[in-house]
Amino acid sequence: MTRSAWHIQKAVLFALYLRELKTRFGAHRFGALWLVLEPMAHVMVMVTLFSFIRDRVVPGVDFAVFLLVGLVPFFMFKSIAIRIMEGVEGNRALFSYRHITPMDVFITRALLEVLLYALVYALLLVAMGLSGLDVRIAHPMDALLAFAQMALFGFALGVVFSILVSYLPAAKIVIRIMFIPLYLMSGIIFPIARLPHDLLPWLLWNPLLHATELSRAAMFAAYPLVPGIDIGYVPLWILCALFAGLWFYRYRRFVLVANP
Amino acid sequence: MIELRALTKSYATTHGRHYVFRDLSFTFPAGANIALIGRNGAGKSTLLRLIGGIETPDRGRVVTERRISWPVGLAGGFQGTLTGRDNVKFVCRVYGADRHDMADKVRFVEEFAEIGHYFDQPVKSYSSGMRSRLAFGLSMAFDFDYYLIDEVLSVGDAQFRQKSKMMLEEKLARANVILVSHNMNDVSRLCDIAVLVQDGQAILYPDVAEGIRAYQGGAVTLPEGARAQGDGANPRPRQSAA
Repeated sequence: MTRSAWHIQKAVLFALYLRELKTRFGAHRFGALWLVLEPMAHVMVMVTLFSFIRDRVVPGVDFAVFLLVGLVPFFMFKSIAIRIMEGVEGNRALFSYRHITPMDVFITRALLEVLLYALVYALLLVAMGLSGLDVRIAHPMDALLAFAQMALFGFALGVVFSILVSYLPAAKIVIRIMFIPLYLMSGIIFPIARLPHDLLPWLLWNPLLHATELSRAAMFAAYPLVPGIDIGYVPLWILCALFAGLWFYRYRRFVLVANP
Repeated sequence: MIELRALTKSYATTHGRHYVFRDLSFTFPAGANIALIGRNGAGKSTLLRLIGGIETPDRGRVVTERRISWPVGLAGGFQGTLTGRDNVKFVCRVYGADRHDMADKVRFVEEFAEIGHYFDQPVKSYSSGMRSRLAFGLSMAFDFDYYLIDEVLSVGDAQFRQKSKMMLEEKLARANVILVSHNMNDVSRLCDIAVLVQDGQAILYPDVAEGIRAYQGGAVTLPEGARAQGDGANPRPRQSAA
């Protein structure tokens, strides 16, 4: 009764999936609530803050929806990358079962985060729609692609981080902190067009800015896309990060598994 | 039969690379219970983990058609926040048990471990003895061709030890064991042949007693026919329990 490789792969991913699902919120039950509350809290604080300044930041776009479309994909991206980075450490004991590799944990964690955040996204959009805001998606296919691109980028970077952290455990703290400036520089809480124009060429190096702006362009019918936003830029980053991540993973996978 | 083909395994240390094995080729004869003996740090456990697929060689291959267990009684493989039952189910799923099969295995582990209502409590609340009971029960719930045992033959109280011993012997009627142990009583009770791991080499002793003597004597005395290990070294029948 030898099982085929595909059969084993399926069994491992399924088993890990249920396990991650059970442990994702195991430590504190508040975790599940936090998943919905975090983007909601950000939206509420920002909407309140900005309503003192001006009610419409981009013409024809509700500011709350504008924020949500920036926030949720970004949180998903961050969550995937960080949970993959910490995936090996949290599951070291598992690798004594010969079928389970770090990559299985990475894939499972990414899938789970995508599913959770897709759910949160849908939930919050529907809630906003019910409260009278305009949440119609102008280009659904583009929106889906933009979401998938965020997920894949999070995965690719997560793999790179996990390798980096295996060389240099202290890097974990730096990476975590790095997400704060990234949050501010990716046009998530304010339209990037508002910033001084000589800053733009520098900001455009940031792939997350491109990804966020493309999410918005997919959502809103007449979104004024900043010149310089490139559809091919994020895929290029994904390709490079995946290549580097998987290349090093190939050499590091046994070191990852070994006990420190 | 388990065959090692030109196996090289090394670790990075602060003093450079340490080679445990360099181009080691070796054939474990089929159908024998094997003891891996040797001094601390000789590479017995590394060899066991290589055979179990937990570690992967730098170069070379471990070739076998047999089903090989994870290290029996591995208590570190549990997720602390999950219950004993969920942990058992997880391993069942990884090893491809279907629903019916899984129910059987879960029941077996629950009855064998005898940890009562703790079976449905998070594993982190277990005492180390309870963990060991769960881990041993879990290993015994699966049918493998080879069980890998690294030093952990005696866990729990006297009654549980007795039960484990009987369970293992029952398993060994249909399967084999690869045992790493410094306890020569266990070695001669359970094993048919001994493999002395020393200086990156593996030397086959078709007679366990001879292997033990060579190990305890410290000097390597090659057994008769050691050169012909590849073509059918003939393991003697298993000793009855001492």
